[in-house]
Amino acid sequence: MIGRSIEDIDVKENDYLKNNETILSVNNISQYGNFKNISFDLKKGEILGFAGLVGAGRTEVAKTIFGAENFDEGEINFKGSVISNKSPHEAIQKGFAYVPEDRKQMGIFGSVAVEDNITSAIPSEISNKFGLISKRSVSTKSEEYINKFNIVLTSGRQLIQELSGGNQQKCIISKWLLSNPSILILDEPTRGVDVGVKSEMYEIINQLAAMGTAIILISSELPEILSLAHRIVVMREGQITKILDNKDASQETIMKFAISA
Amino acid sequence: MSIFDKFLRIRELGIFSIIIIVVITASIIDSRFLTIDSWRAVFLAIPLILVMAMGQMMVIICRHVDISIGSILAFAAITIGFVFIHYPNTSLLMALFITASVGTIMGLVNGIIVTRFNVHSIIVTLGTLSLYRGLVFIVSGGRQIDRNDIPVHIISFSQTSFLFSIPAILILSVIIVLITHLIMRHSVLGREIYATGSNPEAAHLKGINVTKVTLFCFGVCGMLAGVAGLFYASRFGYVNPGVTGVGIEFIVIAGVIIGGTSITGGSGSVLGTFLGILLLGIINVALPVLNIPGEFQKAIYGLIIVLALSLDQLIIFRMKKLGGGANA
Amino acid sequence: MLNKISIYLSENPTLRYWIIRPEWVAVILLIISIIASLQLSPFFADLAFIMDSATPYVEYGLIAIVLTLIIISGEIDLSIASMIALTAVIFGTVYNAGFGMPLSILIGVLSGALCGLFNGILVTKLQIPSIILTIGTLTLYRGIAQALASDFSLGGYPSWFIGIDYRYVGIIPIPVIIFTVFAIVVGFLLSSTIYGKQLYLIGTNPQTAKYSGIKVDKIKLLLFTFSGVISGIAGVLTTSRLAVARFNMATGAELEIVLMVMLGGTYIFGGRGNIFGTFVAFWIVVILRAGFNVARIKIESQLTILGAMLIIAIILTNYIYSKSQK
Repeated sequence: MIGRSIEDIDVKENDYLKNNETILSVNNISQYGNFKNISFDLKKGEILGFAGLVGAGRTEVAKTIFGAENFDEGEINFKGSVISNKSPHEAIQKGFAYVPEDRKQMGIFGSVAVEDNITSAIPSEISNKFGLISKRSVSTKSEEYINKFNIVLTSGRQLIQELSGGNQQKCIISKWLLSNPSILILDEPTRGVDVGVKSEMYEIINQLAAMGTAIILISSELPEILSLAHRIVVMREGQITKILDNKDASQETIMKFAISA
Repeated sequence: MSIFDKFLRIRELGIFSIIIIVVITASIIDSRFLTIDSWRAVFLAIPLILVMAMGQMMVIICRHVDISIGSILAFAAITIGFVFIHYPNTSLLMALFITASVGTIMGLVNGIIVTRFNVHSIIVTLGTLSLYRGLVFIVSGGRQIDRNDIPVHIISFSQTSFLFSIPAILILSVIIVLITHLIMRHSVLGREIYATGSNPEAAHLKGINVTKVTLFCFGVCGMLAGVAGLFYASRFGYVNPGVTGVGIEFIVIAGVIIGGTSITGGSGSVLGTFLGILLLGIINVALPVLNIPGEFQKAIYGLIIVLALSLDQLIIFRMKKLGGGANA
Repeated sequence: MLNKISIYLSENPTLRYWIIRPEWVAVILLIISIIASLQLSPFFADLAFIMDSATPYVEYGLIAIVLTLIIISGEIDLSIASMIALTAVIFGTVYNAGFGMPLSILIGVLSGALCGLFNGILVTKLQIPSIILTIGTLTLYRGIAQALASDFSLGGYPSWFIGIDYRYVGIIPIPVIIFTVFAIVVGFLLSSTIYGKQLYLIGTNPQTAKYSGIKVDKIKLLLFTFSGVISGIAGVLTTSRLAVARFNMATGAELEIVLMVMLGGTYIFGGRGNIFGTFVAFWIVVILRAGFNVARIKIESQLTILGAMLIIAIILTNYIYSKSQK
């Protein structure tokens, strides 16, 4: 049966959502050859799911918002003003964070210690104004999340490549939470992660939304999107075909808009 | 693949046009440029470089670079020089065999280190460049091979001719070029070299023995550098351990790269490389005609390498921009 | 026994990380070369002799320190030796054209910066692999030097400028002091500051570094420029030592400079390595070269040994890293 089962219906509402405060507004952005006329709003505390087939252009949209790629047309509004992120560095300064799909290629520094991985996006918080690194803040800051997320390891100096996929992913999420993002983009966050860690991660995502973080969740697992996202953007061949409210969405309706009409 | 082929055709046409422009400019400035003598100078200068460029092209198509070829040339030349001292009757064929074997061994050593230890070939051959050069000194004891050490029939190899007054050395190098063309375009091995260069992992999955293909390219590159050593002894009539072949690798690499061989591997043609080397040869002869001092030659070659690299990269950017589709 | 040790080490990543490090190879090699050279000649017990032997290599050592940073960041610069020659020739030309000494030095060093910047722009903006690009600029810069200076030796400097290698503080020549101070400063920056840490991150995984907000291109651009600046300083130092500038100065020096970095245990693929290793390797090269000369091995034949050492150093370093960090 491709419908909704009971366990899917547990999307968490939160107080921020009621305020209806739009933080990011994407207007008609296009990137030649990859996607065109992408428009959507993102609210504080909202989890916005992105569904679609592989190759629909979801990752490109995410990378573009994060400043890793350029767009050719359209504009992006963030907290009421037009922005253009020319690099991830600029985006991170404004409060964007991106957990990439390709963990090994873009997410981790394989032969580097876990704590250095976790603190790699907050250079100014682990060093003084002369650039001197404080080893203590590296370990306290990383330990906070190692404990909070139950990351399984022997020590913070262990190399991240020796951890399991799920624990690596928790490290990457920790790294971004340390930067206090107002917008968190998750690109296939549970791919290659075992079931136990998966449900922990769902909990983390819901908690973050409840604290007011706006979340873009790209996922190819429809049950995952249905059980987390408040609204679902469906993409096909580089265009948005439908934006569904969770209550109107089912695997069937999503697939209907994801596959060519 | 087809888009790269197209690019290569345009590239070959481009170099051809530049050659025409250089020739016309030079002959307008000084009509002597069009005489047989200056063309003879061009065609006597290029066989040495051309032969080495064939091997280097194969290595670069296979995603590597061999910068030790100048030292291999010198080692083969010094070896054959000592053979001549002790056995002046050594035939041309025997001399070819000896220099080719010496070169092949040195090329294979490069290839084995590169494939076995997976280190970038430029670093490896930076090491063997010095190693082989040192061996030249050790073998020769620092002694130069003089003109009277080299038998007349070897000297005459580059001077006389048996066909329409075309020097034999040029005929032999044209044969080598044609064989290379046949291998690269019309043999399974050639196709495997291109496949290895454009994507080693995919080539491996297709059942191609990437290590063997790479070794073959390095072996041939060494072999041809060895043969060039004989050419050198024949054409210049001396071999000096400290001078012979020094810096020649950059001329060869310049020729191959402007000839359209992509440094990212998998693309390049014999015709392009030939035109590239021809252009360098013509520039070399045209410099004095254009009143440019000979000291500028190296700077011009360097500029050509950098320009060719930049141009290739710009074209690739452009093609990506135009041909990019939605993926992932 | 060996087996037990390896099992024990595999259970203790931190210990393993500290014990199996390639720079220990450099330290051991240094000790071996000191012992071997002492057998060769009692000169080597004389610190002053070793110090004097070191001065001609200081220029290479300075650049090796910078090249260590570049290789850690995952790039390479092979145009360094040509930049020494070009900056020296520009310095000599400008000085002989009547510019004063301070201005000539400044122009020499600035021209190095420009060369390095040019490398950096082509590497970061056009994404030409640095290993092949700097082979091109190696030819270009040396060619420009030749076009500028022809076969002339550019001399005629004031006597205070000539012979920096004969100025001492105690028994230590000034160039050696410059080198040591530079190594300590850069070593400290690399190991203890956020800039150093980001170099390792870039070299380990440039994509992740970009996605973590590290300004990869800007840092690489700075590194290449820095390499040009230090090559420029090395060019001026060399001119001071030789009293003339020529286009063929430091020919083939890329071998020794790369050798210093590789012997020091810096990983050719980036992300690992340190200044301490390069510093130790500098002294290995100095003692070896001095030893060769004492043993009357021809300079040209020494090339064989140095070339072989480069290859062995790389293979050994790769092997050690593959054992210590899977």
